[in-house]
Amino acid sequence: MRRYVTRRVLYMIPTLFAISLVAFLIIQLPPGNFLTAYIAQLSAQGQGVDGAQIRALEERYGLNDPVVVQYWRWISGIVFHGDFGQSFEHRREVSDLIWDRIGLTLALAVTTLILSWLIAFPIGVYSAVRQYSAGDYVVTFIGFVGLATPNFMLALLFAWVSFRYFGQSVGGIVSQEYTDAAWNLGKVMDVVSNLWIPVLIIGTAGTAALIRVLRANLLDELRKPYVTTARAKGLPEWRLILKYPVRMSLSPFISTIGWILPTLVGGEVMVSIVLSLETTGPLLVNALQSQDMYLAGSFILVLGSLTVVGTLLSDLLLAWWDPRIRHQHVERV
Amino acid sequence: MRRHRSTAARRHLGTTAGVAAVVMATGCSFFSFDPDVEDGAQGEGTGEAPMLAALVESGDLPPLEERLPDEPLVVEPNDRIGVYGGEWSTALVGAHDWPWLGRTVAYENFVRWAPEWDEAIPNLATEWEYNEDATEVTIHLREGIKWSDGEPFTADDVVFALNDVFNNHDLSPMAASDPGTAEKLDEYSLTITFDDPNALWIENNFILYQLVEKPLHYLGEFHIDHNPDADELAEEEGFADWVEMFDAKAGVLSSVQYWQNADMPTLRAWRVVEPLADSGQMVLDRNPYYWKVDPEGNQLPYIDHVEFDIMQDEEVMLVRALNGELDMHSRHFNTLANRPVLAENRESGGYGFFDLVPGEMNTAMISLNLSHEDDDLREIFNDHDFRVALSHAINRQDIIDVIYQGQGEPWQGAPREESPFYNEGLAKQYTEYDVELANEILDEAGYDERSGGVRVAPNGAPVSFDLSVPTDFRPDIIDSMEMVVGFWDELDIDVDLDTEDRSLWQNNREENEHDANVWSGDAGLRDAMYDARWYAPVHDGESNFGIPWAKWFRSDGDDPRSIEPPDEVKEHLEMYEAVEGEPDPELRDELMADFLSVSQERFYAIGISLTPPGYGIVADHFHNVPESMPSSSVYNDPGPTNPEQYFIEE
Repeated sequence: MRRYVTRRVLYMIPTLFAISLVAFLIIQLPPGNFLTAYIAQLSAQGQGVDGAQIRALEERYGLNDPVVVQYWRWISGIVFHGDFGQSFEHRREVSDLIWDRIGLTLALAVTTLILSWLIAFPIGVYSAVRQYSAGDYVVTFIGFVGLATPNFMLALLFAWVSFRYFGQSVGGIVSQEYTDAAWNLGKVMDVVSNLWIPVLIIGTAGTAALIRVLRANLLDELRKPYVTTARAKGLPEWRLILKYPVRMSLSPFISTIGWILPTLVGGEVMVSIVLSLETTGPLLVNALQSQDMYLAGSFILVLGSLTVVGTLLSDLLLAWWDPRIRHQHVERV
Repeated sequence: MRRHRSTAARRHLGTTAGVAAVVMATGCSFFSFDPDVEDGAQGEGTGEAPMLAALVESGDLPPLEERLPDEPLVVEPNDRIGVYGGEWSTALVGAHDWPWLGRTVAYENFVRWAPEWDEAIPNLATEWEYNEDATEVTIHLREGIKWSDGEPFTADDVVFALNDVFNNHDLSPMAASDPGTAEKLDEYSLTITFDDPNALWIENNFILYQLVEKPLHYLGEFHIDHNPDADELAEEEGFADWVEMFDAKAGVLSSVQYWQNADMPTLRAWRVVEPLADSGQMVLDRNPYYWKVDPEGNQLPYIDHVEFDIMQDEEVMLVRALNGELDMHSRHFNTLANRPVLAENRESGGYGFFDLVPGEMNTAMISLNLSHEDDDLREIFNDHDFRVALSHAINRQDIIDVIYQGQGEPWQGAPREESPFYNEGLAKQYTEYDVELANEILDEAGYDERSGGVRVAPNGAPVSFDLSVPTDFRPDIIDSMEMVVGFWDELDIDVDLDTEDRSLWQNNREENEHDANVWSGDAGLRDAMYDARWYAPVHDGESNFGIPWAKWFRSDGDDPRSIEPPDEVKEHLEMYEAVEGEPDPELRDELMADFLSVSQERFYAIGISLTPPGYGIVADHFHNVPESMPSSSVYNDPGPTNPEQYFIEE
């Protein structure tokens, strides 16, 4: 087991290197650079920037250097000094920018995950055990609608309904009167009372997917002979189901843990934009659009690392949870 | 609505604090349930705001007479004398929306536009005069103005900003394009010298506002010329060198950074309390040293606080506007398409409209690239008759009816009727829809041969080109260009509509790789003179029909990417140089009119329709906002309408 983990960790190094290289190159691919986007913005606001100034700026930011040089400047800063560079657009340290928003993003991701577990688990079990019952059809229908409706669409609908019928405007997670207030209980309560909306909206698709997966897995298990045997031995039905087949089909719940880490940084961009949430997603989109390459590149690198780490974590958890997987590995290793 | 809520919250704070004094007196502890924000008082105008009078009484602030200049600038209120107090709620879309800050709370230059935009009037400067060839301007500053920390504002501050900051190649890219140099004459006067005649400079230049926001007494410490130990200081504060430190403090490269420094003393009506961020809120408080008064001698501004909610999305802004949560706003959400829904909610939202006379004179300007690298296409595009034929073939009324709800009229690239430079000939020539005439013109001009159903030019090349439209700019332009390409089918020419990502579009234009492209027609009021991009190739980033020509004009042929224009264009460019070199405003207007009549002969680009009027919203309790104002990046609306005299009264 230890050898397995060590090997996985060692594999991560070249993977991360490849991610950083590809991320940086992809950001450089579109024509133009940050200045093109910046000048487009200025000119849209009616301000011209003349040629001499553009050349001076290109020089200053080193935008005319070969990509390899620019890449080295960026990656060496990260590796040797832990310095992600400065965002062109925000004129601030990249790490500060990301850090500022990580708290809310984290809260949102974790709450969403827990909520979708809480909803998906009982419904998934119910609809598998009562397959083709009226209740199953209802939750299946709702599940498919949840899967098929884009989250941002729900967010837009929500924004409209809350304005039209409740006279409330959405946007932000902290109510206006608390925006500049120091953190106190009132503010915490305020955040909690505003958080459930995005959590619900972001959670729909994930919950629906979990229900479907759990249902399918459980259906497979329910038909297996050991279930029949247990039933023949007179085990009470609900205890039987929860103790054996449900346990066997819980793997998808565990593997979703691997996905949380990356969604921390990049997840639910659209919903966040529509609801004006101060999460990391909108920042990433904005950075990509304005070709703010150090910010965007660092984002993607962090995202990549988190995905890699998250996958490892969920693999380990799965191995711990499910002896079948554990033994498979041990046999192979 | 928003105001009610926050007032209620404040009252609530008062009672809780009183009743629960045993628990906690201030309410700023973690275990309090109340929004921990400052209390604001409202009061009648009695010389100065109550919040300042209290500070004077407690000895924390010098009395009003000592804070004001001997002759403060008197601002005529738009409607009536206001009352002190209140909070102006407005919004930004992200930190890069800072121009809205510049327009609302930061419009202070040496001179300012009169609200009606008929002339430039004194502001920080009481007088200014050019020398005869307009290469030198002498500026007399208003005596006794103080920065928001109480330090005097003098010629030294301006000389520092121009000579030590913007002419320093390490600090500013502007140094590369010779922004002029300043020389101090005495405490309150200075002369600025340019390489070329620049009579328009004092009224409109990008650098102007930046010259009066760099206090020497605060920034000197961070500048190597004023503090030999600046590099050591930078190291202590965690910067790489003094340049990085200075930029972080002063925001030379980017206004985003300027607004992030809450310590920066200012000359403006409000000073930053909560700095700009990419989310949350930015808050400004009144500047106790502001140097303007109303006719009764009350120090301005009337409004205590200005609050910018920083949003991620324009749709959120729209909903806030509908809910009456924006007191006065005219940016982003105020589109033609949103007008009906905003109108419908006026009563429930508690707001009304004011009119914006757009500086934009055309919904879409089609530029054929007159300096195209390809010889055949360049020859075709430079054929005046060819462009006339294309123009006649467009059914502009159809476009107006279908896309602009019938608002506007057929228009070329020409100043609007509201502009002092209105020229009917320029505005209306070749706008008549007549396909037969267009075909006739093409036949006569030698385009009568066809190959595969497409006309062939006299030089043997088929008439076939791409028309590029940027996405992520204005959806109405994409719609109207689809119609235009349809109309041009009738001429048997082959035009492909090419929608490109905005930055690709931008890049192609910069590299002179576009056949023909489309952009909105800016500068159609008084700004036509300051930004003549559509009337001759004078703007090397925006005169889309001849960017390399404009580069030649701006760099005197030094720019390697420039192309020398034909003689007739050169003559026309000289006429614009004459405008730029004429210090007398009246003579200058005449020269401008002559210049525009030649634009009519040249017919550089093809316009579609006059941009319909715009609108902004203003809350019912928000007063002294004019019913109508010009809207242009040169005018900087609503800045010239004196936001310091806006006031709030239920």
